[in-house]
Amino acid sequence: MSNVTRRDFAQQLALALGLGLSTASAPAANAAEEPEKKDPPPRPPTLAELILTGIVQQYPSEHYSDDVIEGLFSDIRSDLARGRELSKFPLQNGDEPAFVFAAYRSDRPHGGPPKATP
Amino acid sequence: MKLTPDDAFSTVTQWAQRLRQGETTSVALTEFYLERLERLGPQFNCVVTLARDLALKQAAEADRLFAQGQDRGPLHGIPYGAKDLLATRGIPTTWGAAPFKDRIIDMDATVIERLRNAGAVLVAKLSMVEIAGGFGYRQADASFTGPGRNGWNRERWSGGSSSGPGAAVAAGLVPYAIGSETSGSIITPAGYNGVAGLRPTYGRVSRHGAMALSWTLDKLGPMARTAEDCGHVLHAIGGVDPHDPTSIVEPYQFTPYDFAGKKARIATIKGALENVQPEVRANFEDTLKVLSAFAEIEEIELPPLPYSAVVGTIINCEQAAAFEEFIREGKVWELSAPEDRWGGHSTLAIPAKDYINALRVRAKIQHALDAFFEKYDAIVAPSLSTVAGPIDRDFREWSKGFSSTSLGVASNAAGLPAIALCNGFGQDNLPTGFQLVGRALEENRLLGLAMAYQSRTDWHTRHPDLP
Repeated sequence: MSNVTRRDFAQQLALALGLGLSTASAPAANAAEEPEKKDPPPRPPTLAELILTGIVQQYPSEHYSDDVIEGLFSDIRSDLARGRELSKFPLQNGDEPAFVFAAYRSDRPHGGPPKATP
Repeated sequence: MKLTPDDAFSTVTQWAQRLRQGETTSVALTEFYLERLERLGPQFNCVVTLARDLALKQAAEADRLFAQGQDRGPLHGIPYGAKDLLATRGIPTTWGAAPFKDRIIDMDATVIERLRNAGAVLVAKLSMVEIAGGFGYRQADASFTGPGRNGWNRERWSGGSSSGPGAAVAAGLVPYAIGSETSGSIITPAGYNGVAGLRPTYGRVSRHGAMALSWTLDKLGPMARTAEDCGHVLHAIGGVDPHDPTSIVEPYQFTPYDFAGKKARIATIKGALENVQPEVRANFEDTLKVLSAFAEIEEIELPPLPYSAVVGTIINCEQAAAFEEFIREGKVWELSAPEDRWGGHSTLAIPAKDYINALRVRAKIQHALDAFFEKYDAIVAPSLSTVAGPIDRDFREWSKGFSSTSLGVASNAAGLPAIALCNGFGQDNLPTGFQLVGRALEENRLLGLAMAYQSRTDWHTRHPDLP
């Protein structure tokens, strides 16, 4: 278990960005009230947290509530999982993307332009 | 002659005949459907804007042309509705989203223009899930017009994102409508409402003037009572358009493939019935029996490819580009469904390599599925795993434990055509359905199969009891 929970991270993030979220349990706030207590060194942020930070910084809004932050975390994790799934798929260097997408038929040169039958 | 409530469920083909026999006029028909849209539309939350003035003007013109002996084809003089993501000159185009509820895009989408040229009469802009569902809605109440209510039961969902077209056709408020699909948005409401929905091959129908959610996945297509009607509509709206560089050059003509005297080859997907409701299973098994009268049916397995990851990544990345400004300007926070307000944010940070990899894997999917269609005329599967769920509950609750095959995402990834048809009724007298997916550009083969099915069954003639 990390020293800082995801929720704490989100709240620290919100605090740092001046967003109006509840900060009752935010370690930064506690630290300010109890300066004599030494917090353990914070763990480095996860990739999902870094992405979240980037999104919140680039698209600031007063609407980033706890629920929204939780939802965003979940979405980011899903996006990352999809990226990992795609990265795992065996592709050769020569496997080009279909930059100009078109429906494909093997019986047409280069897959198109296609012609229907009959 | 006076039109009755039962007449509202007539097909395009039937209206075309009655107009030519002088039993009614386009103006009378248009008044008839306008009255139903006005009276019943609010009960289904399916109408965004009634186009009364335009419709009556177009209907009068249609009658005038008939009187002069000019016949523009099967859609001439017949009313239709358009999903509210198609631009229409002088009429608001809202994309289902509150921030755009008063916005007018002062042009006609190519599809609207082509239907006008075919003599069709635009009676209404029909409701849809906000931004075509791109921001991850999880419940029916995801449009500024309220939850899309099912044509058979107003407490059930009409599906999305073409909610209005599905419900309006089922409830006999229009004979046909134009919907759109990025991944499931025609097949789903067609399935839940028990109507026919045709998703054409990618590029078959110009998307000029339609909201772009995902440039390489968006398709426009008809929703109607029969496969034959879908064919007539596709005939009118298909074909190359200089305004849409992805439109296919080859013209489309509705000439349904005739399987008389030969057996079609249809594949079913192994495990397709494992996680579906009992009535979906039973009705699908009956469907296979009907299909087997004119088709050899063989069970197959789809190649194990990451279909959902590909489609999900492509939609997310393309919509991120399409709607970045919408999010940046904060308009996104005005959307109706709470989850839609933040659901697009994470997509703004997906690495480019994931998108490129999705496009690379997509090419593999296209080749793999095309190879299948060297052997088969179509792949068949249930349209959906359940009947329509309640409008007031999260999708994840009522669909828990049920799942569809990968055919929907796989065929959307590859840009392949599909048609959904009603195949019976289940729980609470709600429709069930099946879909046929075909090879690229083989709409006529799919339509031939679908028409053969509908000629042997009468599910498409059933309709809700509405005054």
